[in-house]
Amino acid sequence: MHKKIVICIALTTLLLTGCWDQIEIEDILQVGAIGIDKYVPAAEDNKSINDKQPIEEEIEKNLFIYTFAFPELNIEELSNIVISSVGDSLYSIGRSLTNRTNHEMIYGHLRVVVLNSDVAKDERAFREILDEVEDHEFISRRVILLMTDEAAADIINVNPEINPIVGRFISEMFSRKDRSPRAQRGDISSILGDIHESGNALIPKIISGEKDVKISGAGVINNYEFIGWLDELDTTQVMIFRGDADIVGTRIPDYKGVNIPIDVQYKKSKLKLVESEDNIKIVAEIQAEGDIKRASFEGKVDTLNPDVVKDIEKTACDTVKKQMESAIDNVQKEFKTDVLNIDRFLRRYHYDLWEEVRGDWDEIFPNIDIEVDVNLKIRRVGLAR
Amino acid sequence: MGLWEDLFGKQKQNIIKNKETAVNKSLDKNLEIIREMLVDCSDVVYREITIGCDDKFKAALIYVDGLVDKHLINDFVVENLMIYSRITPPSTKTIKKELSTIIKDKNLAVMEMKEVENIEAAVFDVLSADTILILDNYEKIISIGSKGWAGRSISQPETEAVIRGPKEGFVETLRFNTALIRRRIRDTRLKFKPYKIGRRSKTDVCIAYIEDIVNKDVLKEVKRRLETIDIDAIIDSGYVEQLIEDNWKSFFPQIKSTERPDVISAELYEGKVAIIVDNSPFVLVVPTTFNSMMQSAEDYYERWGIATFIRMLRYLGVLLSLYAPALYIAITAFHPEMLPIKLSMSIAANRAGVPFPSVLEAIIMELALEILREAGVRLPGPIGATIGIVGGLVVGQAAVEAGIVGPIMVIVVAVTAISSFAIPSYNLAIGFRLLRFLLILASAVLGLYGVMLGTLIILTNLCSLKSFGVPYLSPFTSYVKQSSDLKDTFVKAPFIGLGVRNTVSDKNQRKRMNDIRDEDFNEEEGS
Repeated sequence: MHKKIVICIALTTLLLTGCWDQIEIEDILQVGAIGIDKYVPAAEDNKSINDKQPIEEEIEKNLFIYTFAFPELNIEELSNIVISSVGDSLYSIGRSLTNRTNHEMIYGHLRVVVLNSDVAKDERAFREILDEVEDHEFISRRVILLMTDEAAADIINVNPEINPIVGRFISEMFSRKDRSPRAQRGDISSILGDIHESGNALIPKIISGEKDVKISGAGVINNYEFIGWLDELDTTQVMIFRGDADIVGTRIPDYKGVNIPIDVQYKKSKLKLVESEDNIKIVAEIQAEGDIKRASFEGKVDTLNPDVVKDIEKTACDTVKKQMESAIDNVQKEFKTDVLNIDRFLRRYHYDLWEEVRGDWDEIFPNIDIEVDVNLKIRRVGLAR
Repeated sequence: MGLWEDLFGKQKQNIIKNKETAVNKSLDKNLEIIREMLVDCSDVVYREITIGCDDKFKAALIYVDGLVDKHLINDFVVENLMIYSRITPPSTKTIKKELSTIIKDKNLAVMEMKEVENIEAAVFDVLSADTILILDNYEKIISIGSKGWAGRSISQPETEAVIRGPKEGFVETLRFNTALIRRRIRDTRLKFKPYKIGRRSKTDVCIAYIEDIVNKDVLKEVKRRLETIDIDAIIDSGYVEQLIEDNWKSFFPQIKSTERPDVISAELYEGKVAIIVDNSPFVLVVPTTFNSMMQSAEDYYERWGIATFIRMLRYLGVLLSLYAPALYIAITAFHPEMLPIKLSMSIAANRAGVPFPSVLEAIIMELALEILREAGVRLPGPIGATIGIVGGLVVGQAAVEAGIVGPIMVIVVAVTAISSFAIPSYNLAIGFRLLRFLLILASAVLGLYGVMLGTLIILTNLCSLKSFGVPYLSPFTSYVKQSSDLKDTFVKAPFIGLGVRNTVSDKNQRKRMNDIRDEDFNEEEGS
């Protein structure tokens, strides 16, 4: 008797908890990239997104165009298939696409989500999309979130020559170790971390070319709203300031009449609060190592002379410092948005002060003093291999 | 006999009764009784002779043709009795009363000889390839050991070939097998205890052990279990194995069988018991653990580093042969997001034209492989290899090109098959063969969850198994008592580290090696 009961219980638990979602690997569409655009009813019907005869009651649902890219199942030739549809959310579009595709869409291998800047300008829409992406059970936290001022669908439609699978192409670009920090890290977990903390974040910007795409600069998000583009040079400086940059190519344009390229490796960026009566003053100590990439300089500069190298070091420090100060100025005055993560620093290390300023940090931030102390050492003057 | 009678008719169980008939004084009467017992046995040879100059004494020899060494009987029994007794005849007077003694002690030039007192025993001796000599006017029968049948000569064991190590294997004759073991253990404490099992077959079974090293509990249990066997015939040691194993429901063999005398000797030195069955070249060893099934003789003959590496490879082989197809199904059909994207795309693209779900694909390929394997065993050597190539390569390639199965599935199945041959013990490998199908079904229904459930069931079963009182998974399961046995599991310690027997052996005989070498053989004088 007991045996029977145990077997019954075991069987029910077994059959109620199993994975009953078997679907063969070739019968799924492994969505690699999603582009999200704002929907604007076009004059003529757009067949590719199937909005030919929208139902009256559902017209209000037509907020966004979602564009999905998934690789075609073909070993010899890599190519993308692109489908677009109109709707108000990933979920509802996924549902309506079940009547347009014979395969199930799986987001387990989603790599890239591209947002059009118009979508991000709408706070509610931006929040909804982020929430959906964050909550989706299949979407990985390593998905790259990008913004563009072109149509997101155009980006998705690019077939880069190097690797035509655009999602994989972009995500592999971001995973390059030696990537220049002209766009910030794009993985959604770090962006969501920033946004949830303060409502502010930088989202890398992507622009399309004919046969490739380029990531450069960043969109500034202030309180869940897109407010403008930070250009690539400023982005680089912000990344250095935050300690997220690794290798940056710098040059001293006119040092004794020659152009000196320096490969700079940023090691550390440390913030310090300097007590002063009237204003908050932050000092950023930035440590870096450089590597001069040219050798002879037409005889004008002798890089084997330590004094010359010291002098180059000093000039390089000044150059970097100047660039950074201008970038910080830009962030403070133009965007008035703390993407430098100073709020995080204050909250972690100077909580008392933070308690005082947290209420109106948005007003205080543009006016605080930020000083940069660059400590760049030239370690190598020419490598041989 | 009609079907009705066959199904419902009364059954009479004829039980063989052991009777004992005393040997008669009269030769004729004895012969009559024996002839009656062995009626219609055309292989039995009777030879009646007379002994002495005046042909006064009659005698008869009986043996089974084909089993006995005829040279021995002719040259040293018949010749002595018939010819030499006439050349140098003792006087009739003296031999009259002591004929039997003279024959036994002075006339028959053979080593093995004994006397039996009842006819049944004598007939049994005849059937066991001895020759019996019946004398007139004598109440005993002389049984002359004359075993000498044609058998397979000692050759290399085919199932357990090694590159380095002895190349001789057991044969079908029990005596040769005990000799092979005795040659490796010249110790008075090596015992061969004989049993006769099988009501009709009366098969010789012999348990071998080293008296002071053996685990006494195991020895007692082996004897007890052998005595409980009540069957009409034992054809092979496989019969004995299945009749004395602990759990017949399990897929795992709990008794190791081997063709190699060096393995048996090594196991005896480890305190285990060997069971040798006549007519079978496979000798059983108890108690057996999973770990000992994963060892090969060669591990001990080569250096420890490579032995360790190969052992780990074998365990990897076990995992692959058990899990490869199940994991393939679970991941492709349930959890494609677990694969790296490039691999997932290439699998999907490869499977795009395949009409079957991956489960069916796996089952088709696995069954095809099993059929190939079975066919390969049946086919004669050279053709077997051809079938392997035709079946494996040609059919596999054609199936892929025809789009019936995906190329990845072929790889998975091939890897499975190859890894199952990496398991040194054949009977363990065939256990995994069956379990693989169970796991395929489990993963087909429940995905990875099913694979995990299957694993749990297998592990539970493994943990609950015992072989003659020793846990099957030891020493992995009992670190307290058997931690020292871990030196010879995944890792095979350097030889000098194996100075202690494993914990199955008798507690007082653990130490087997003293390290009295110099610290460094190459040390220079005076340095």
